[in-house]
Amino acid sequence: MREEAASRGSVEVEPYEAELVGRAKARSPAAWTEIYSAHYAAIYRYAKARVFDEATAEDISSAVFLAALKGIDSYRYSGRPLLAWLYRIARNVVASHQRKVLGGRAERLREGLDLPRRVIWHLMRSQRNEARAADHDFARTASSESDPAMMVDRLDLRDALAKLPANQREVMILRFLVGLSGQEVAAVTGKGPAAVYSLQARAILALREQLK
Amino acid sequence: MDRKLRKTLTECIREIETGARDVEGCLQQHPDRAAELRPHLELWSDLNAAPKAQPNFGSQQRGQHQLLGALADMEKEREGRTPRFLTPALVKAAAVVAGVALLAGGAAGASAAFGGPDVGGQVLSTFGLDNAPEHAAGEADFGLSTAQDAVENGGVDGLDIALDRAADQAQSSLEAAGEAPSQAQGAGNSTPHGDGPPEAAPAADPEPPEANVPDFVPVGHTQ
Repeated sequence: MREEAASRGSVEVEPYEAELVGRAKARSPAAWTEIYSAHYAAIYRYAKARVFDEATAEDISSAVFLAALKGIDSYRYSGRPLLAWLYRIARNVVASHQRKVLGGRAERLREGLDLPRRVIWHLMRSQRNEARAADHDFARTASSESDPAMMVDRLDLRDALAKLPANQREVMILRFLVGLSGQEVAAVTGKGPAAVYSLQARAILALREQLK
Repeated sequence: MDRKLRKTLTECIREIETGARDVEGCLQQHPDRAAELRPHLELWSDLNAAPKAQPNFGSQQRGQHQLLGALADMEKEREGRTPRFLTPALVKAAAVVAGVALLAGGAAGASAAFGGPDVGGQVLSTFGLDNAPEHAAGEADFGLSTAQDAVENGGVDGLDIALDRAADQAQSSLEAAGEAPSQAQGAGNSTPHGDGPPEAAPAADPEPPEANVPDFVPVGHTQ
């Protein structure tokens, strides 16, 4: 459906989405069904690219739409695609999920240490950039893929993606794993198209080095 | 990192994405760097052509049901809440209307039952409703029920009706009282059915009651 909407051109998409948001704010089940059907696949793909697990990605996708339903009253449509808002929610839900997972792992690790080591552990942990650590470590804790044929390729790509800086990784996921066009990635992330092409080029150069 | 290579690659990606050129066209455009560019552009093309993950249909349906269920729950919750427009002032006004109606109706009913002085008529007289005590009691009951509906159901319509009715009744009673003041005065001292013994006029009482006199004074007791 999103493809249909996109094909109408940006001139027609904006009023269409504005009207859809208006109906969603009025708690129209039809509007929410439309939003869900149009964007579920994109949100699921994004979640799966971040957590590498189908069941978790499904849970995250559901949580994103429930969070959208709860937050629709405070959402103001400004002409940017509705997917941009859902993507922001998805990023937050994924980050929250990763903090929870890493928090559990860290807690188990901390409990296994004696007191001096716990102090050192705390000092080291406080110096670490939490967000960066979450982004980089979580990919290694991911569970198995459903498609064994793709697993080897994806494992390399997963590891490679995890090593990219966050802005490059986000663009690569949206562009190649979610399947948005460069223009759509620009609209969703709020960056200019030139910045999106540049980030793709940087990421391709870095991936090429890692995948050698 | 080779800045020039990065710049050329960025330009190629932009041209391919916008449909201006394909990979081969871009390599021909930059023959001096074609050997370096090719593996990068091939990687870009491979990624672009890679199949996208497809969500499980059953899970998608379950998620949709969950969303619509949450939407229905939110609607139920919203309907169950007291509306914002039903402010404490409005609730107070409804309670006052209901109270007056109850007092008037109750007094008229009690007076009729015991055949005593028309206390209800006096109360109604206070509010200008002494022209037709029974009708006023009926109106008061209606006012009470609509006011209760207004409070219970959270609608202002019932409250509006109650207030309008009370105002109309008061207005018509005042008009009637203006036309026949003596009738209004008489109505206060007669039984509703008119078949009881006439009451003695208060002026005929030789000893008006004193203040603080006990209700039951023993016979023969002198103060």
